[in-house]
Amino acid sequence: MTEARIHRSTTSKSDVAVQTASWLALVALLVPLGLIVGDLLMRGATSLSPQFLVDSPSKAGREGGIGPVLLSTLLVMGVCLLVVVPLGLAAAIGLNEYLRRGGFAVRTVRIALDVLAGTPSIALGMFGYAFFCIALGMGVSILAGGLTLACMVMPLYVRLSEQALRTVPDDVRAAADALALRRYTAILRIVLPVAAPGLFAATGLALARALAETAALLFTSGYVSRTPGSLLDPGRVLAVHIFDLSMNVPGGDGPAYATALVLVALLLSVSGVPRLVRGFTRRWSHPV
Amino acid sequence: MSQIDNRARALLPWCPMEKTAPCCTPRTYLEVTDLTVKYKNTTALRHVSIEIPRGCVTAIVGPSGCGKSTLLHVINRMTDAVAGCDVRGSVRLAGAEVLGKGVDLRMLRRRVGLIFQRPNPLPLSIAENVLLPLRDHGFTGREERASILERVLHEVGLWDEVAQRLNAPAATLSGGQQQRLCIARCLALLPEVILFDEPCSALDPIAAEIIEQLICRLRNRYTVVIVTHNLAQARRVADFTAVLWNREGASSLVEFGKTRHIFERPTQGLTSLYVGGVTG
Repeated sequence: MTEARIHRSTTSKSDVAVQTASWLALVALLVPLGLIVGDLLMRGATSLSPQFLVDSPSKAGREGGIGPVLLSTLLVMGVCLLVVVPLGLAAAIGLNEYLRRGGFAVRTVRIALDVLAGTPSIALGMFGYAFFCIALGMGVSILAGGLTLACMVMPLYVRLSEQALRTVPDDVRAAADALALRRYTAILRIVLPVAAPGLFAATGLALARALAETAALLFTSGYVSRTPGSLLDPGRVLAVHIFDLSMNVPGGDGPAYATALVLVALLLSVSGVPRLVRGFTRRWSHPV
Repeated sequence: MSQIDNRARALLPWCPMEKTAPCCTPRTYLEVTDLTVKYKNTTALRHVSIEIPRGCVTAIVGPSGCGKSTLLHVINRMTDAVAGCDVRGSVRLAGAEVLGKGVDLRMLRRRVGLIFQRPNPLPLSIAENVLLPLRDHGFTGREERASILERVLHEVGLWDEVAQRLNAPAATLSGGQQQRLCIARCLALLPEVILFDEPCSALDPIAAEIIEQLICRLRNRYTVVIVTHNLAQARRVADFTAVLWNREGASSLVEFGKTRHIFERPTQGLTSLYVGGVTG
């Protein structure tokens, strides 16, 4: 067979069809995204200013800014991450490194996480209200909101962290086994560094999921737009602010769009930061 | 043997080997008796018994899938981690039972090192590949660890190649160098037995030859068991050779003896067909 024929055979009709189809699918995916961001920019950019980010809202949010809302959002996310990362990472390590694969404990935890993942966020909000706000006496507060969110994103975080841990090659695990390294040495010095990029990404995705949540927070962290004085004060997060402005406040569209723009920017940076960190860690971590 | 190494050896509950020529009078060190290994429904090994002599190189040969690696992995209990793996029989190391409960796996795996088919350095620096296991096994002195590092890298002929870049990632080494680093890492823990699971099959011929020469240098100081499907290699490096064969769905030992006998005057028909290249 000549070289020319080999080349010709690589672009058959079906190849062209598949390529066209994938380009079309790509466009179909990008168009809605472009429309959404464009819409937000057009309607929100006019209300957006540095002042908007620090001012308190006035006239039910029609005027002023989102300073306290932004602060509440950061606090709720902080509480959420402080609970999810250590607990979720411990769970993922337990499921992946310590417990027997396919054993009773692993199956039970998996089922529990799946049920939790399948629970509608509004139901989780009600649970959060009943449990954290009432039963544990936290009241409608940033703490209760963060903990409820933690329940919500835990399954996602554990699942993603497990995937990250599984990127550690079996070869390397076998080496650690054959050298009879202590489990925690192997985990701390070998498994976690190798899985670190994936773990950062998992944190980013869990945070993005939490940032976008509205329903679960309506009941638990409330919609008071004052600057919170402590974690036991209620606080309104960005998503709730948008919901309130667009549903309950006539003439609140401008600030609602501007707030949505801020939220989208935050989401993008949250999912972008892990990628950045990955770039940095590549410099000092060792390739497998 | 330096002062520091003597202190390192004081940590050992076992007696390290003196340099002698034990192959003249082989003394059994690793005794596999009536070993049967099953994976769920398939039998990998059936009633295998071998007496592996101290200080010698023993090769285990046979066609693919005849349970050579399984046999090796049973000896330092790597099979424990395999779900559904059922091991029966007895493996004795210097007279002490290795299988069964109550065996200190950490100690066992220090005494019995394992080198894998594909070089598997830890994703750390070259130096850390040796230093981390040392620290983990209680070698607390920094200087002591550094001297062990230098000694084992010399021993595998890697020192001159890497002395200038000990902190470079181990993954930047070539395949053959990585495999030697794995051997150095194993030697650092002062093992008595070293198991090689086809250590050259993922390497180019030149790197393979270096590893082979290294294995020959380990003779007399360590008890070496090497699994290989390269008959010429077995003939070159091994004092004793065991032939495994898959018969009726399970593998068993066909013949075991001095390498020269196995290759020149085999007693079993199957062995002569196999080493003669007629089958297998």
